Amino acid sequence: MMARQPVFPPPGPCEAGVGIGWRHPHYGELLETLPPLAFLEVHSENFFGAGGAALAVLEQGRAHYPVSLHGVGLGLGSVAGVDPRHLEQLALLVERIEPRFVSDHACFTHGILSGQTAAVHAGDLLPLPYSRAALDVLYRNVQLVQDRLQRPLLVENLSAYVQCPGNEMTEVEFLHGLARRSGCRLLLDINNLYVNARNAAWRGELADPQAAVRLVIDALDPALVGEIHLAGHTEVHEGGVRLAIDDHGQRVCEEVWALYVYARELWGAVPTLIEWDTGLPPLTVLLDEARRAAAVTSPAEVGA
Amino acid sequence: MSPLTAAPDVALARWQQSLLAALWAPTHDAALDHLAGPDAGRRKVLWRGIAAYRSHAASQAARSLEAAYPAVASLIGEENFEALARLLWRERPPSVGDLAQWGATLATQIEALPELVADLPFLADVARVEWALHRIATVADAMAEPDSLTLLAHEDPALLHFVLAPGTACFSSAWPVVTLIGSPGDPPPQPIHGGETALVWRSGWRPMLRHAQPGEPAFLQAVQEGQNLGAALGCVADFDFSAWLACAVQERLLLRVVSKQAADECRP
Repeated sequence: MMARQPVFPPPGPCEAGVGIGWRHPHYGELLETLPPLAFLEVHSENFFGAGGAALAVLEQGRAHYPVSLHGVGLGLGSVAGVDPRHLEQLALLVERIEPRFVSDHACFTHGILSGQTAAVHAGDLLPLPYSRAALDVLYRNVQLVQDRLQRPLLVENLSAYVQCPGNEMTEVEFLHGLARRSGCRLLLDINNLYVNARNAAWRGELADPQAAVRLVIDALDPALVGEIHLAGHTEVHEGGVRLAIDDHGQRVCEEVWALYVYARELWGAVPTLIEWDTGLPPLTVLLDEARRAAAVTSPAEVGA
Repeated sequence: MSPLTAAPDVALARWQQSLLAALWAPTHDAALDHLAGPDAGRRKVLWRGIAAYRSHAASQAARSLEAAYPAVASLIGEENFEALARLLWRERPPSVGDLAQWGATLATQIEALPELVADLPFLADVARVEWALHRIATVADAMAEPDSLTLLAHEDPALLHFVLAPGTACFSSAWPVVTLIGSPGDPPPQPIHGGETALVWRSGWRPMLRHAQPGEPAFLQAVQEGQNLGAALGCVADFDFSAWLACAVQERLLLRVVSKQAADECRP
Protein backbone atom coordinates (compact mmCIF):
# COMPACT_ATOMS: atom_id res chain seq x y z
CA MET A 1 0.00 0.00 0.00
CA MET A 2 1.28 3.45 -0.87
CA ALA A 3 1.86 5.70 2.08
CA ARG A 4 -0.60 8.57 2.03
CA GLN A 5 0.90 12.00 2.48
CA PRO A 6 -0.22 13.89 5.58
CA VAL A 7 -2.93 16.40 4.73
CA PHE A 8 -1.41 18.98 7.01
CA PRO A 9 2.12 20.03 7.82
CA PRO A 10 3.77 18.60 10.91
CA PRO A 11 3.48 20.88 13.94
CA GLY A 12 6.16 23.48 14.25
CA PRO A 13 8.43 23.76 17.26
CA CYS A 14 6.41 24.69 20.30
CA GLU A 15 7.41 25.99 23.62
CA ALA A 16 8.61 23.12 25.77
CA GLY A 17 8.13 22.97 29.50
CA VAL A 18 6.68 20.72 32.15
CA GLY A 19 3.03 20.06 32.89
CA ILE A 20 1.04 17.73 35.10
CA GLY A 21 -1.92 15.43 34.63
CA TRP A 22 -4.85 17.32 36.15
CA ARG A 23 -7.23 14.98 37.98
CA HIS A 24 -10.46 15.52 39.90
CA PRO A 25 -9.04 15.72 43.47
CA HIS A 26 -6.79 18.61 42.37
CA TYR A 27 -9.31 20.63 40.33
CA GLY A 28 -10.09 23.17 43.04
CA GLU A 29 -6.64 23.60 44.55
CA LEU A 30 -4.96 24.10 41.20
CA LEU A 31 -7.47 26.78 40.17
CA GLU A 32 -7.02 28.53 43.50
CA THR A 33 -3.22 28.48 43.53
CA LEU A 34 -2.43 28.60 39.79
CA PRO A 35 1.09 27.12 40.13
CA PRO A 36 3.53 27.86 37.32
CA LEU A 37 3.15 25.03 34.80
CA ALA A 38 3.68 24.92 31.06
CA PHE A 39 0.45 22.99 30.49
CA LEU A 40 -2.18 20.68 31.97
CA GLU A 41 -3.19 17.34 30.58
CA VAL A 42 -6.56 15.67 31.13
CA HIS A 43 -8.13 12.43 29.99
CA SER A 44 -10.38 13.35 27.07
CA GLU A 45 -13.06 10.79 27.95
CA ASN A 46 -13.72 12.44 31.32
CA PHE A 47 -15.09 15.47 29.47
CA PHE A 48 -17.25 13.83 26.81
CA GLY A 49 -20.50 15.03 28.36
CA ALA A 50 -22.39 17.85 26.65
CA GLY A 51 -22.22 20.00 29.78
CA GLY A 52 -21.91 19.92 33.55
CA ALA A 53 -19.44 20.82 36.24
CA ALA A 54 -16.42 18.89 34.94
CA LEU A 55 -16.51 20.60 31.57
CA ALA A 56 -16.93 23.99 33.24
CA VAL A 57 -13.89 23.33 35.44
CA LEU A 58 -11.86 22.31 32.39
CA GLU A 59 -12.79 25.56 30.68
CA GLN A 60 -11.66 27.46 33.78
CA GLY A 61 -8.34 25.61 33.65
CA ARG A 62 -8.09 26.37 29.95
CA ALA A 63 -8.40 30.07 30.74
CA HIS A 64 -5.12 29.87 32.70
CA TYR A 65 -3.09 27.13 31.00
CA PRO A 66 -2.67 25.39 27.67
CA VAL A 67 -4.52 22.06 27.97
CA SER A 68 -3.66 18.75 26.29
CA LEU A 69 -6.30 16.09 25.69
CA HIS A 70 -4.92 12.62 26.34
CA GLY A 71 -7.23 9.79 25.32
CA VAL A 72 -7.39 6.27 26.67
CA GLY A 73 -10.30 4.97 24.65
CA LEU A 74 -9.88 5.50 20.90
CA GLY A 75 -8.23 2.12 20.44
CA LEU A 76 -6.16 3.26 17.47
CA GLY A 77 -4.89 -0.28 16.84
CA SER A 78 -8.29 -1.96 17.04
CA VAL A 79 -9.07 -4.10 14.00
CA ALA A 80 -12.74 -3.18 14.57
CA GLY A 81 -11.87 0.45 13.74
CA VAL A 82 -12.39 3.67 15.64
CA ASP A 83 -15.86 4.09 17.14
CA PRO A 84 -17.41 7.02 15.19
CA ARG A 85 -19.36 8.18 18.27
CA HIS A 86 -16.15 8.35 20.28
CA LEU A 87 -14.43 10.30 17.51
CA GLU A 88 -17.31 12.78 17.27
CA GLN A 89 -17.27 13.38 21.03
CA LEU A 90 -13.51 13.95 20.88
CA ALA A 91 -13.91 16.32 17.91
CA LEU A 92 -16.47 18.40 19.81
CA LEU A 93 -14.15 18.60 22.81
CA VAL A 94 -11.18 19.58 20.66
CA GLU A 95 -13.26 22.33 19.08
CA ARG A 96 -14.30 23.58 22.51
CA ILE A 97 -10.93 23.42 24.30
CA GLU A 98 -8.48 24.11 21.45
CA PRO A 99 -5.87 21.87 23.09
CA ARG A 100 -2.12 22.12 22.83
CA PHE A 101 -1.86 18.41 21.98
CA VAL A 102 -4.28 15.60 21.32
CA SER A 103 -2.91 12.16 22.08
CA ASP A 104 -3.81 8.50 22.52
CA HIS A 105 -1.98 5.17 22.55
CA ALA A 106 -0.53 2.62 20.14
CA CYS A 107 -2.85 -0.09 21.38
CA PHE A 108 -6.18 -1.77 20.82
CA THR A 109 -9.08 -1.39 23.22
CA HIS A 110 -12.15 -2.99 21.70
CA GLY A 111 -13.46 -5.70 19.43
CA ILE A 112 -16.17 -8.28 19.05
CA LEU A 113 -16.06 -11.32 21.32
CA SER A 114 -16.59 -14.67 19.67
CA GLY A 115 -20.30 -15.49 19.47
CA GLN A 116 -21.31 -11.87 20.09
CA THR A 117 -22.47 -9.22 17.66
CA ALA A 118 -21.79 -6.00 19.57
CA ALA A 119 -18.30 -4.70 20.32
CA VAL A 120 -16.95 -4.71 23.86
CA HIS A 121 -14.57 -2.08 25.16
CA ALA A 122 -11.91 -3.39 27.52
CA GLY A 123 -11.34 -0.11 29.36
CA ASP A 124 -7.64 -0.88 29.11
CA LEU A 125 -4.72 -0.33 26.75
CA LEU A 126 -4.04 -3.70 25.14
CA PRO A 127 -0.84 -4.52 23.26
CA LEU A 128 -0.31 -4.94 19.54
CA PRO A 129 2.36 -7.01 17.82
CA TYR A 130 5.00 -4.97 16.00
CA SER A 131 3.79 -6.33 12.67
CA ARG A 132 3.02 -4.87 9.25
CA ALA A 133 -0.65 -5.73 9.71
CA ALA A 134 -0.86 -3.90 13.04
CA LEU A 135 0.97 -0.93 11.55
CA ASP A 136 -1.56 -0.80 8.68
CA VAL A 137 -4.47 -0.81 11.13
CA LEU A 138 -2.88 1.87 13.31
CA TYR A 139 -2.05 3.99 10.29
CA ARG A 140 -5.60 3.81 8.91
CA ASN A 141 -7.16 4.70 12.25
CA VAL A 142 -4.69 7.49 13.05
CA GLN A 143 -5.29 8.93 9.59
CA LEU A 144 -9.05 8.80 10.11
CA VAL A 145 -8.79 10.64 13.43
CA GLN A 146 -6.36 13.23 12.09
CA ASP A 147 -8.57 13.88 9.06
CA ARG A 148 -11.57 14.45 11.33
CA LEU A 149 -9.70 16.64 13.81
CA GLN A 150 -7.65 18.38 11.13
CA ARG A 151 -4.58 18.23 13.32
CA PRO A 152 -1.83 15.72 14.02
CA LEU A 153 -2.11 13.30 16.91
CA LEU A 154 0.58 12.31 19.36
CA VAL A 155 0.68 8.52 19.74
CA GLU A 156 2.12 6.99 22.92
CA ASN A 157 4.17 3.81 23.27
CA LEU A 158 2.64 1.19 25.52
CA SER A 159 3.57 -0.82 28.58
CA ALA A 160 2.49 -4.43 28.12
CA TYR A 161 2.23 -7.44 30.41
CA VAL A 162 1.86 -10.13 27.77
CA GLN A 163 4.04 -10.62 24.74
CA CYS A 164 2.19 -10.58 21.44
CA PRO A 165 3.04 -13.25 18.91
CA GLY A 166 4.02 -12.17 15.40
CA ASN A 167 6.53 -9.33 15.89
CA GLU A 168 8.18 -8.46 12.56
CA MET A 169 10.11 -5.34 13.56
CA THR A 170 11.38 -3.51 16.62
CA GLU A 171 9.22 -1.12 18.63
CA VAL A 172 11.24 1.83 17.30
CA GLU A 173 10.77 0.72 13.68
CA PHE A 174 7.06 0.31 14.37
CA LEU A 175 6.67 3.78 15.90
CA HIS A 176 8.84 5.43 13.25
CA GLY A 177 6.79 3.71 10.54
CA LEU A 178 3.57 5.03 12.01
CA ALA A 179 4.81 8.60 12.48
CA ARG A 180 6.40 8.85 9.04
CA ARG A 181 3.40 7.43 7.18
CA SER A 182 0.68 9.29 9.04
CA GLY A 183 2.35 12.57 10.00
CA CYS A 184 1.55 11.94 13.66
CA ARG A 185 4.21 12.49 16.30
CA LEU A 186 5.27 10.30 19.18
CA LEU A 187 4.46 10.71 22.83
CA LEU A 188 7.32 8.86 24.45
CA ASP A 189 6.48 7.43 27.86
CA ILE A 190 9.87 6.67 29.38
CA ASN A 191 8.32 4.81 32.30
CA ASN A 192 6.53 2.51 29.85
CA LEU A 193 9.83 1.75 28.13
CA TYR A 194 11.41 1.04 31.50
CA VAL A 195 8.51 -1.14 32.74
CA ASN A 196 8.71 -3.26 29.57
CA ALA A 197 12.50 -3.59 29.89
CA ARG A 198 12.26 -4.34 33.64
CA ASN A 199 9.78 -7.14 32.93
CA ALA A 200 11.86 -8.48 30.04
CA ALA A 201 14.84 -8.63 32.39
CA TRP A 202 12.82 -10.59 34.93
CA ARG A 203 11.84 -13.01 32.17
CA GLY A 204 15.56 -13.44 31.47
CA GLU A 205 15.40 -11.79 28.05
CA LEU A 206 17.89 -9.01 28.79
CA ALA A 207 20.40 -8.17 31.48
CA ASP A 208 20.22 -4.42 32.03
CA PRO A 209 16.82 -2.65 31.68
CA GLN A 210 18.32 0.84 31.72
CA ALA A 211 20.82 -0.04 29.01
CA ALA A 212 17.98 -1.51 26.94
CA VAL A 213 15.95 1.70 27.22
CA ARG A 214 18.98 3.83 26.37
CA LEU A 215 19.31 1.85 23.13
CA VAL A 216 15.67 2.66 22.31
CA ILE A 217 16.24 6.35 23.04
CA ASP A 218 19.39 6.29 20.88
CA ALA A 219 17.43 4.78 17.99
CA LEU A 220 14.46 7.16 18.14
CA ASP A 221 14.37 10.08 15.72
CA PRO A 222 14.10 13.16 17.98
CA ALA A 223 12.28 15.05 15.24
CA LEU A 224 9.35 12.67 15.70
CA VAL A 225 9.08 13.00 19.48
CA GLY A 226 6.54 15.64 20.46
CA GLU A 227 6.10 14.98 24.17
CA ILE A 228 7.50 12.90 27.02
CA HIS A 229 5.47 11.28 29.80
CA LEU A 230 6.99 10.47 33.19
CA ALA A 231 5.14 8.37 35.75
CA GLY A 232 5.68 5.92 38.56
CA HIS A 233 5.08 2.19 38.58
CA THR A 234 4.65 -0.58 41.14
CA GLU A 235 6.58 -3.81 41.36
CA VAL A 236 4.66 -6.90 42.49
CA HIS A 237 6.01 -10.31 43.44
CA GLU A 238 3.56 -13.17 43.45
CA GLY A 239 3.86 -16.91 42.97
CA GLY A 240 7.56 -16.61 42.26
CA VAL A 241 6.94 -14.15 39.39
CA ARG A 242 7.91 -10.49 39.49
CA LEU A 243 6.09 -7.89 37.45
CA ALA A 244 6.36 -4.13 37.10
CA ILE A 245 2.91 -2.59 36.62
CA ASP A 246 2.49 0.86 35.12
CA ASP A 247 -0.12 2.05 37.61
CA HIS A 248 0.84 5.76 37.72
CA GLY A 249 0.60 5.47 41.48
CA GLN A 250 4.11 6.36 42.67
CA ARG A 251 6.80 8.97 42.26
CA VAL A 252 8.93 8.56 39.15
CA CYS A 253 11.66 6.05 40.03
CA GLU A 254 15.35 7.01 39.98
CA GLU A 255 16.09 4.76 36.98
CA VAL A 256 13.44 6.58 34.91
CA TRP A 257 14.76 9.98 36.04
CA ALA A 258 18.21 8.94 34.84
CA LEU A 259 16.75 7.89 31.49
CA TYR A 260 14.90 11.20 31.22
CA VAL A 261 18.15 13.09 31.77
CA TYR A 262 19.75 10.88 29.10
CA ALA A 263 16.96 11.59 26.61
CA ARG A 264 17.07 15.34 27.24
CA GLU A 265 20.84 15.37 26.71
CA LEU A 266 20.23 13.82 23.31
CA TRP A 267 17.03 15.59 22.30
CA GLY A 268 17.08 18.99 23.95
CA ALA A 269 13.86 20.54 25.20
CA VAL A 270 10.74 18.40 24.86
CA PRO A 271 7.35 19.14 26.50
CA THR A 272 7.20 16.82 29.50
CA LEU A 273 4.29 15.66 31.63
CA ILE A 274 4.14 14.19 35.13
CA GLU A 275 1.32 11.60 35.23
CA TRP A 276 -0.30 10.30 38.42
CA ASP A 277 -3.62 8.46 38.26
CA THR A 278 -4.06 6.11 41.21
CA GLY A 279 -3.68 6.91 44.90
CA LEU A 280 -3.29 10.58 44.12
CA PRO A 281 -1.01 12.40 46.57
CA PRO A 282 -1.35 16.09 47.52
CA LEU A 283 -0.89 18.45 44.59
CA THR A 284 2.40 19.61 46.09
CA VAL A 285 3.91 16.18 45.39
CA LEU A 286 3.08 16.43 41.69
CA LEU A 287 4.44 19.97 41.60
CA ASP A 288 7.59 18.71 43.28
CA GLU A 289 8.01 16.09 40.55
CA ALA A 290 7.31 18.75 37.90
CA ARG A 291 9.99 21.03 39.39
CA ARG A 292 12.49 18.17 39.26
CA ALA A 293 11.71 17.59 35.57
CA ALA A 294 11.94 21.31 34.85
CA ALA A 295 15.37 21.44 36.48
CA VAL A 296 16.75 19.01 33.88
CA THR A 297 18.41 21.00 31.17
CA SER A 298 19.96 19.78 27.97
CA PRO A 299 23.42 20.84 26.76
CA ALA A 300 21.78 22.87 23.99
CA GLU A 301 19.74 24.85 26.51
CA VAL A 302 22.73 25.43 28.76
CA GLY A 303 24.77 26.68 25.80
CA ALA A 304 21.98 28.93 24.54
CA MET B 1 -4.35 -22.77 15.90
CA SER B 2 -1.67 -20.27 16.86
CA PRO B 3 -2.21 -16.76 15.54
CA LEU B 4 1.28 -17.01 14.01
CA THR B 5 0.18 -19.57 11.45
CA ALA B 6 -2.62 -17.46 9.99
CA ALA B 7 -2.43 -14.68 7.39
CA PRO B 8 -1.29 -11.38 8.94
CA ASP B 9 -4.66 -9.59 9.10
CA VAL B 10 -6.39 -12.72 10.33
CA ALA B 11 -3.62 -13.29 12.87
CA LEU B 12 -4.00 -9.75 14.21
CA ALA B 13 -7.78 -10.04 14.46
CA ARG B 14 -7.40 -13.41 16.18
CA TRP B 15 -4.89 -11.99 18.68
CA GLN B 16 -7.25 -9.20 19.59
CA GLN B 17 -10.20 -11.54 19.89
CA SER B 18 -8.20 -14.00 22.00
CA LEU B 19 -6.98 -11.35 24.43
CA LEU B 20 -10.48 -9.90 24.81
CA ALA B 21 -11.86 -13.43 25.34
CA ALA B 22 -9.19 -14.00 28.01
CA LEU B 23 -10.21 -10.81 29.81
CA TRP B 24 -13.87 -11.86 29.81
CA ALA B 25 -13.26 -15.54 30.62
CA PRO B 26 -15.00 -16.68 33.81
CA THR B 27 -11.83 -18.10 35.38
CA HIS B 28 -8.12 -17.51 35.15
CA ASP B 29 -7.55 -21.00 33.75
CA ALA B 30 -10.15 -20.38 31.05
CA ALA B 31 -8.39 -17.11 30.24
CA LEU B 32 -5.11 -18.93 29.71
CA ASP B 33 -6.88 -21.47 27.47
CA HIS B 34 -7.74 -18.64 25.07
CA LEU B 35 -4.16 -17.42 24.76
CA ALA B 36 -1.91 -20.37 25.40
CA GLY B 37 -3.98 -23.53 24.90
CA PRO B 38 -2.52 -26.50 26.77
CA ASP B 39 1.14 -25.41 26.30
CA ALA B 40 2.37 -25.44 29.91
CA GLY B 41 5.42 -23.30 29.13
CA ARG B 42 3.38 -20.56 27.48
CA ARG B 43 0.76 -20.68 30.26
CA LYS B 44 3.54 -20.12 32.80
CA VAL B 45 4.89 -17.14 30.86
CA LEU B 46 1.47 -15.56 30.41
CA TRP B 47 -0.32 -16.17 33.69
CA ARG B 48 0.96 -13.17 35.68
CA GLY B 49 0.46 -10.70 32.85
CA ILE B 50 -3.07 -11.92 32.21
CA ALA B 51 -3.77 -11.70 35.92
CA ALA B 52 -2.63 -8.05 35.84
CA TYR B 53 -5.05 -7.22 33.00
CA ARG B 54 -7.93 -9.10 34.63
CA SER B 55 -7.29 -7.43 37.96
CA HIS B 56 -7.22 -4.02 36.29
CA ALA B 57 -10.53 -4.76 34.55
CA ALA B 58 -12.11 -5.70 37.90
CA SER B 59 -10.91 -2.52 39.56
CA GLN B 60 -12.02 -0.41 36.57
CA ALA B 61 -15.46 -2.00 36.78
CA ALA B 62 -15.83 -1.30 40.51
CA ARG B 63 -14.41 2.24 40.28
CA SER B 64 -16.57 3.24 37.29
CA LEU B 65 -19.71 1.77 38.79
CA GLU B 66 -19.19 3.24 42.23
CA ALA B 67 -18.91 6.72 40.70
CA ALA B 68 -22.44 6.25 39.37
CA TYR B 69 -23.94 4.24 42.25
CA PRO B 70 -22.54 5.40 45.60
CA ALA B 71 -25.72 4.54 47.51
CA VAL B 72 -25.97 1.03 46.03
CA ALA B 73 -22.30 0.51 46.95
CA SER B 74 -22.90 1.76 50.47
CA LEU B 75 -26.04 -0.38 50.94
CA ILE B 76 -24.43 -3.68 49.95
CA GLY B 77 -20.87 -3.08 51.18
CA GLU B 78 -17.56 -2.94 49.34
CA GLU B 79 -17.01 -6.66 48.81
CA ASN B 80 -20.52 -7.34 47.48
CA PHE B 81 -20.38 -4.25 45.30
CA GLU B 82 -17.09 -5.34 43.73
CA ALA B 83 -18.60 -8.75 42.98
CA LEU B 84 -21.67 -7.08 41.46
CA ALA B 85 -19.45 -4.83 39.33
CA ARG B 86 -17.46 -7.85 38.08
CA LEU B 87 -20.70 -9.65 37.21
CA LEU B 88 -22.09 -6.66 35.31
CA TRP B 89 -18.77 -6.20 33.49
CA ARG B 90 -18.84 -9.85 32.40
CA GLU B 91 -22.50 -10.10 31.46
CA ARG B 92 -23.20 -6.59 30.18
CA PRO B 93 -19.76 -5.29 29.18
CA PRO B 94 -19.01 -1.72 28.18
CA SER B 95 -19.43 -0.96 24.51
CA VAL B 96 -17.89 2.52 24.49
CA GLY B 97 -14.57 3.97 25.60
CA ASP B 98 -16.08 6.46 28.02
CA LEU B 99 -16.66 4.20 31.03
CA ALA B 100 -18.87 6.83 32.68
CA GLN B 101 -21.50 5.72 30.16
CA TRP B 102 -21.27 2.08 31.28
CA GLY B 103 -23.58 0.67 33.93
CA ALA B 104 -27.03 1.77 32.78
CA THR B 105 -28.31 -1.79 33.17
CA LEU B 106 -27.33 -2.32 36.80
CA ALA B 107 -30.95 -2.23 37.96
CA THR B 108 -31.85 -4.99 35.49
CA GLN B 109 -28.82 -6.98 36.59
CA ILE B 110 -29.87 -6.67 40.23
CA GLU B 111 -33.39 -7.88 39.39
CA ALA B 112 -31.87 -10.97 37.80
CA LEU B 113 -30.31 -11.97 41.16
CA PRO B 114 -33.09 -13.51 43.28
CA GLU B 115 -31.07 -13.60 46.51
CA LEU B 116 -30.20 -9.94 46.26
CA VAL B 117 -33.81 -9.03 45.47
CA ALA B 118 -34.98 -11.08 48.47
CA ASP B 119 -32.48 -9.40 50.81
CA LEU B 120 -32.72 -5.86 49.46
CA PRO B 121 -35.92 -5.54 47.41
CA PHE B 122 -35.46 -1.78 47.06
CA LEU B 123 -31.97 -1.98 45.54
CA ALA B 124 -32.99 -1.97 41.85
CA ASP B 125 -35.13 1.14 42.33
CA VAL B 126 -32.28 2.87 44.18
CA ALA B 127 -30.05 2.01 41.20
CA ARG B 128 -32.54 3.50 38.72
CA VAL B 129 -32.64 6.81 40.55
CA GLU B 130 -28.87 6.91 41.00
CA TRP B 131 -28.29 6.27 37.29
CA ALA B 132 -30.56 9.22 36.46
CA LEU B 133 -28.58 11.41 38.86
CA HIS B 134 -25.32 10.21 37.31
CA ARG B 135 -26.39 10.92 33.74
CA ILE B 136 -27.81 14.38 34.35
CA ALA B 137 -24.45 15.50 35.75
CA THR B 138 -23.15 15.76 32.17
CA VAL B 139 -26.17 16.72 30.07
CA ALA B 140 -26.04 20.02 28.21
CA ASP B 141 -26.13 23.16 30.36
CA ALA B 142 -29.22 25.37 30.33
CA MET B 143 -29.52 28.88 31.70
CA ALA B 144 -32.30 30.01 34.01
CA GLU B 145 -34.19 33.14 32.92
CA PRO B 146 -36.10 34.34 36.01
CA ASP B 147 -37.20 37.55 34.24
CA SER B 148 -39.37 35.44 31.93
CA LEU B 149 -41.66 34.73 34.91
CA THR B 150 -43.25 38.14 34.37
CA LEU B 151 -45.17 36.54 31.49
CA LEU B 152 -47.22 34.72 34.13
CA ALA B 153 -48.65 38.02 35.34
CA HIS B 154 -50.32 39.08 32.11
CA GLU B 155 -50.50 36.18 29.67
CA ASP B 156 -53.19 33.54 29.33
CA PRO B 157 -51.81 30.24 30.80
CA ALA B 158 -53.05 28.49 27.66
CA LEU B 159 -50.47 30.53 25.71
CA LEU B 160 -47.49 29.78 27.99
CA HIS B 161 -45.08 26.88 28.30
CA PHE B 162 -42.60 25.95 31.02
CA VAL B 163 -38.98 24.96 30.33
CA LEU B 164 -37.63 22.62 33.00
CA ALA B 165 -34.07 21.94 34.11
CA PRO B 166 -31.94 19.41 32.20
CA GLY B 167 -32.68 15.80 33.05
CA THR B 168 -35.86 16.43 35.05
CA ALA B 169 -37.52 13.07 35.78
CA CYS B 170 -39.72 11.38 38.38
CA PHE B 171 -39.39 7.81 39.64
CA SER B 172 -42.25 6.24 41.53
CA SER B 173 -41.17 3.39 43.80
CA ALA B 174 -42.80 1.06 46.29
CA TRP B 175 -39.73 1.74 48.48
CA PRO B 176 -38.37 4.84 50.24
CA VAL B 177 -35.75 5.48 47.56
CA VAL B 178 -35.22 9.17 48.34
CA THR B 179 -34.61 8.42 52.01
CA LEU B 180 -32.23 5.56 51.17
CA ILE B 181 -30.14 7.62 48.73
CA GLY B 182 -30.25 10.69 50.92
CA SER B 183 -28.80 8.91 53.95
CA PRO B 184 -25.47 7.62 52.69
CA GLY B 185 -23.74 5.25 55.05
CA ASP B 186 -26.82 4.64 57.19
CA PRO B 187 -28.11 1.06 57.35
CA PRO B 188 -31.55 0.78 55.76
CA PRO B 189 -34.36 1.13 58.34
CA GLN B 190 -35.92 -2.16 59.52
CA PRO B 191 -38.61 -2.98 58.67
CA ILE B 192 -38.41 -0.95 55.51
CA HIS B 193 -41.68 0.31 54.11
CA GLY B 194 -43.34 3.33 52.58
CA GLY B 195 -43.13 4.08 48.89
CA GLU B 196 -41.67 7.38 47.65
CA THR B 197 -41.63 9.22 44.36
CA ALA B 198 -38.22 10.69 43.62
CA LEU B 199 -37.72 13.84 41.59
CA VAL B 200 -34.30 14.38 39.98
CA TRP B 201 -33.09 17.41 38.06
CA ARG B 202 -29.95 19.51 37.68
CA SER B 203 -29.76 22.81 39.49
CA GLY B 204 -26.94 24.70 37.80
CA TRP B 205 -24.21 22.06 37.73
CA ARG B 206 -25.52 20.08 40.69
CA PRO B 207 -27.67 16.95 40.30
CA MET B 208 -30.56 17.22 42.76
CA LEU B 209 -32.92 14.75 44.42
CA ARG B 210 -36.02 15.26 46.57
CA HIS B 211 -39.46 13.83 47.22
CA ALA B 212 -41.96 14.80 44.55
CA GLN B 213 -44.86 16.84 45.91
CA PRO B 214 -48.44 15.59 45.51
CA GLY B 215 -49.52 16.14 41.91
CA GLU B 216 -46.02 17.19 40.85
CA PRO B 217 -45.15 14.08 38.74
CA ALA B 218 -48.31 14.40 36.63
CA PHE B 219 -47.81 18.14 36.22
CA LEU B 220 -44.15 17.76 35.18
CA GLN B 221 -45.03 14.96 32.79
CA ALA B 222 -47.64 17.16 31.10
CA VAL B 223 -45.13 20.02 30.84
CA GLN B 224 -42.51 17.68 29.36
CA GLU B 225 -45.03 16.36 26.86
CA GLY B 226 -45.33 19.90 25.55
CA GLN B 227 -48.71 20.83 27.01
CA ASN B 228 -49.31 24.50 27.71
CA LEU B 229 -49.46 25.67 31.32
CA GLY B 230 -53.27 25.79 31.42
CA ALA B 231 -53.60 22.27 30.07
CA ALA B 232 -50.85 20.94 32.35
CA LEU B 233 -52.59 22.38 35.40
CA GLY B 234 -55.81 20.79 34.18
CA CYS B 235 -54.15 17.37 34.36
CA VAL B 236 -53.61 17.47 38.10
CA ALA B 237 -55.75 17.66 41.16
CA ASP B 238 -54.40 18.35 44.63
CA PHE B 239 -51.51 20.40 43.30
CA ASP B 240 -50.53 23.62 45.04
CA PHE B 241 -49.22 25.48 42.02
CA SER B 242 -48.32 28.73 43.82
CA ALA B 243 -46.20 26.95 46.40
CA TRP B 244 -44.64 24.79 43.70
CA LEU B 245 -43.76 27.79 41.54
CA ALA B 246 -41.88 29.61 44.30
CA CYS B 247 -39.98 26.46 45.19
CA ALA B 248 -39.26 25.45 41.56
CA VAL B 249 -37.79 28.86 40.72
CA GLN B 250 -35.60 28.85 43.81
CA GLU B 251 -34.42 25.29 43.09
CA ARG B 252 -33.85 26.12 39.42
CA LEU B 253 -36.18 23.26 38.52
CA LEU B 254 -38.14 25.74 36.42
CA LEU B 255 -35.75 27.58 34.11
CA ARG B 256 -38.05 29.87 32.19
CA VAL B 257 -41.48 30.61 30.84
CA VAL B 258 -41.94 30.96 27.10
CA SER B 259 -44.83 32.00 24.90
CA LYS B 260 -46.65 29.43 22.79
CA GLN B 261 -45.04 30.89 19.68
CA ALA B 262 -41.53 30.51 21.10
CA ALA B 263 -42.32 26.98 22.25
CA ASP B 264 -43.63 26.06 18.80
CA GLU B 265 -40.45 27.41 17.19
CA CYS B 266 -38.27 25.28 19.50
CA ARG B 267 -40.09 22.05 18.64
CA PRO B 268 -38.60 19.90 15.91
